[in-house]
Amino acid sequence: MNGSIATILELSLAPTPKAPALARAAVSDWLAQQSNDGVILDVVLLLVSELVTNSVRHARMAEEPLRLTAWVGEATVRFEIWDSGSDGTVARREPRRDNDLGGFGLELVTRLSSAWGVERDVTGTTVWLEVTTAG
Amino acid sequence: MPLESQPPDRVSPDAAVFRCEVSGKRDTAKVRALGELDLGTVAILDAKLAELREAGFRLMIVDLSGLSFIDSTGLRCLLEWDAEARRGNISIALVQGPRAVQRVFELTGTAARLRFVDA
Repeated sequence: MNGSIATILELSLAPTPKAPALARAAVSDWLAQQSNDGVILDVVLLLVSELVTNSVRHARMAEEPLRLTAWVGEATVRFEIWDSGSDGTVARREPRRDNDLGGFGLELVTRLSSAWGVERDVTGTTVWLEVTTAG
Repeated sequence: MPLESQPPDRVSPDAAVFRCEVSGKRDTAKVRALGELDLGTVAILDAKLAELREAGFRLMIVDLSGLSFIDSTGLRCLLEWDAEARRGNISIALVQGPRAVQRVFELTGTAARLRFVDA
């Protein structure tokens, strides 16, 4: 279907320990509305949980909500999460080594996503990943 | 030291739902983990295991068969308790979870580090 408009999910989440579960529930509902049965829901929910957990930890001193965006492309589903945490900015925060996707979370992301990346600018940090859809 | 079923620990219904069912026999406690184990709920399991250790149980069997979800935060909790058991005078064993749960152990190469037993 050429020119079909992908429905976008936009979520604003308080950076609390409940955020991963809230995000999984929202993504699960959203994916159920998509005409895309090529993604493995379990895998997507695991990846979303890792993304959001990482951002909650990263943004732990910040008050601004996390922003999760998801959309279905031609052969992928893409997730982006933004948090206002950014190393070296005005936020006075102890530098920590586990600020970024790390350890088992990173391992799951690298193994289950088709691509992922981290982008930083003065406003915050965006982590994105894509999952390939079958067929 | 008999442990009857305890009131479930729950977090708010709009987030992950998780509770533990505990039963005990002599020095063995069985903890049935039910629901989703993630950043929002991992403290419930952690506190329960700490409580059972304090109560004197030497073997704790964590049954994952009722888990519907686990991520790296839940995995880390189980690995930390496994390490704690190896340091201390207790044992931890796990009963396998459903496929989506077991996959997290397999993808991270941690299944072999943990002790799995039959239910």
